[in-house]
Amino acid sequence: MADAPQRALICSTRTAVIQALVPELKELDAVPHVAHDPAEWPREPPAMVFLDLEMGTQLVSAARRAFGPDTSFLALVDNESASRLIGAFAAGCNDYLFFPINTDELKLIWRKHVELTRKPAPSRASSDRVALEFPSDVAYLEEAVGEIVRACEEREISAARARLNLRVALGEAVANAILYGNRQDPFKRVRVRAEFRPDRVAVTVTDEGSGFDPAVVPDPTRPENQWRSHGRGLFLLQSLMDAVEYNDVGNAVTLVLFR
Amino acid sequence: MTFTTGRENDVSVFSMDGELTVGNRQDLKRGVLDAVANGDRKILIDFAQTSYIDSSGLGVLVSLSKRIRESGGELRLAALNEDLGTLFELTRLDTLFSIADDRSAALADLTDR
Repeated sequence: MADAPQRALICSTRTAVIQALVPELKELDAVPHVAHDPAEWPREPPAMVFLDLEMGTQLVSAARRAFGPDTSFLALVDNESASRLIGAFAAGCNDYLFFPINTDELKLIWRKHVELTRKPAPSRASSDRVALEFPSDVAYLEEAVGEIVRACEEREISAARARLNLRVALGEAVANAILYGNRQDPFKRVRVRAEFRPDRVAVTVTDEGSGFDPAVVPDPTRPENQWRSHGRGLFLLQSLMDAVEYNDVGNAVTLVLFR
Repeated sequence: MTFTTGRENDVSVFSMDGELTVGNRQDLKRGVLDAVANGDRKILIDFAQTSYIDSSGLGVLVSLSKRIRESGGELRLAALNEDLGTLFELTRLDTLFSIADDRSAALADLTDR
């Protein structure tokens, strides 16, 4: 539990949204502040910013620029604005909440992002780093992989290596994180962080699963395994990258491509 | 739908429209298995419009190939681009499948039989 009351910034012009959120946040001992205009935002970073996607996703980028890595960004969506959710995640939102608000869900999200984790939110793009975070759903896969591949191309990494090697390997790593690491649990998230250095690109994919042992995956090119319908993902990943590193737990894999 | 179906003589042709991945592989699997269940024995999958197949997509092709063989049929793949060719070679799936340069070559090969 945090010592001082946590501040929450609500960016919405809709009375119904504001009236629903303010009492719920007070119930969580938070201090709500309503301001949809960046000119009226507080200087001190809030613990969480609630961004009503009815106002578009540009507000997400503006909020990310205004506040540092200790703030969590939450997209508020309804049926009309749900199509903007992917854009909001790409712009740096950490999570989302459907409107009308489910109180239990709000409590869970507040607890997860403010009371428990308090870890830095991803900084989306700086000159040498790109970070993404998204829910465990294969619907996000193509866009997430595409974004990292584009980032490589912008940094003049060989087009063929970005398009084939990294795209395929990263696609496999992200699919594994969604399907096997997080088992498609919508409350678990996948994080992708690409670091660009003069001699290499390193992309780390992290899930919230309990990890696995890469050593026990059988070689799919051996004759006895050729007719198996599974087990080619890790093999492709290892064949196409210059180096592949796992953390000790086995829930994070780093793909390295030398320039 | 992520593919279109057609027929050339006794060959059932599936033309993939875009990628074959974990997100859509079940559509193709269902489509081809339905054709096999309906008695089709010559199946061609055309990848001329496909830039990318992931490991799940490769897995579906392997399991389809097995099923088609078991039912006494034949499967041909056609028009894999250079990147896809590389993936098939890396996984040695090029030795498992009959792969034609393009659709007409695959059709000629299948209808000769």
